Amino acid sequence: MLREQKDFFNLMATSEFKSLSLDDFKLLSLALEHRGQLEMRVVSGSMEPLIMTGELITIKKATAPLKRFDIIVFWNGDRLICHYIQHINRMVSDDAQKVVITGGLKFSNVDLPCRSENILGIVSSHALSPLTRLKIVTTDLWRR
Amino acid sequence: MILEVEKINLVYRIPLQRRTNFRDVFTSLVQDPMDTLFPNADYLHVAKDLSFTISEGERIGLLGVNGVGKTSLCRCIAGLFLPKSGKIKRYGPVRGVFNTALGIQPELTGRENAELLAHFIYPGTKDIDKIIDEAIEFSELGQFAEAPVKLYSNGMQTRLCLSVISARPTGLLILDEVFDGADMFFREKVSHRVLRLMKSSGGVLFVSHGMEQIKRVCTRVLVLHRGQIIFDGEPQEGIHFFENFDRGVKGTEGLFQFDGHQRI
Repeated sequence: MLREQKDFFNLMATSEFKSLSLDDFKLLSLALEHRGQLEMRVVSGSMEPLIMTGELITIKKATAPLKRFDIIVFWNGDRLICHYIQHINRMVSDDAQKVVITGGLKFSNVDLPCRSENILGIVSSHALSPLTRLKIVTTDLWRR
Repeated sequence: MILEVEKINLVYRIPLQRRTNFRDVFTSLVQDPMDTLFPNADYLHVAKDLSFTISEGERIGLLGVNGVGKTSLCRCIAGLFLPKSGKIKRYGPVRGVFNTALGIQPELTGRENAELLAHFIYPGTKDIDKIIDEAIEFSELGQFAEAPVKLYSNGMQTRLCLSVISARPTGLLILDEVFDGADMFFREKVSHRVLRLMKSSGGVLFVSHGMEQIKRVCTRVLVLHRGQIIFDGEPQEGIHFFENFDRGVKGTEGLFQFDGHQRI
């Protein structure tokens, strides 16, 4: 039974699940809360030098407040995405919700703003190295 | 169908000026050195997966509180902004009016300004003199047409501009709060003219805070709230919906109820 469940949650994160509904996301969130951590397989290469396609990642529920450069897994309306946090909005909020700006490592553009209720958890198995952080910061300066 | 908007997302980058003096810089350096040395701008999500269509002969009224994204959406449709994601398909020309004072030279007379505007809006048209004469006659400016525009009142300027703009039919006409200067009689006149234009071609996207105006002109109403369309339907119902729904304005909780009666 347990193995089947685990396979089911792994399936949800792979390409065989084309889109993830809100109920599915809530179910996953509950599962994560219940177990403490989830393992998922990454199907695309947007975090490529750090997380390769097909790699397993471990997701944990965020206990401390989110910081810049944390790698998170969030739901963007139809699928789960694993990206790092580029910026957390300070002034602009969406009905008293924290809004997080994320981006991938492969391309320099940022995603659509993500509300904190759509965040599944933090990736505990991977972290950005200080060199990558410096690179991101400098490219941010250049973009402006 | 003249316009198709498919799941557009609009995002603004807002570099907020947070620190102005040395004391603030020092405290923020102590609190968060990374963010102080390499500041990052906030992002504002204006339109979230908006999608709607405008078919031929429709006059659509856009309703919403300030800062909800009405003008941004209009500018996106007119092609002034690029959305972050999504598609906008335009079948035919789009003419947007966002500012009635744009391109107006205060030293020139009304007729000369009308000529400039006409050349600007209808480039390459042969009967431009006819358009100008007709527009000035329509605007009811009379002898003021020969006076410099700097002497005009706000309403007269609006009249002149609207008359020129609505002289020839177009695919989609976007009117973004342009009636603010004009009086109610002229509004009615222009709406009659727009109605007449409608029969030849196109649709109208109309942004206004005048409920009476929208009730009279529009055939469909969209209500925007927090970047999403929360109502799409008949103008009468839409205005009723907009007047009675809780906009999240502080201090008015419980003032507006959904049962149709305002309790004050």
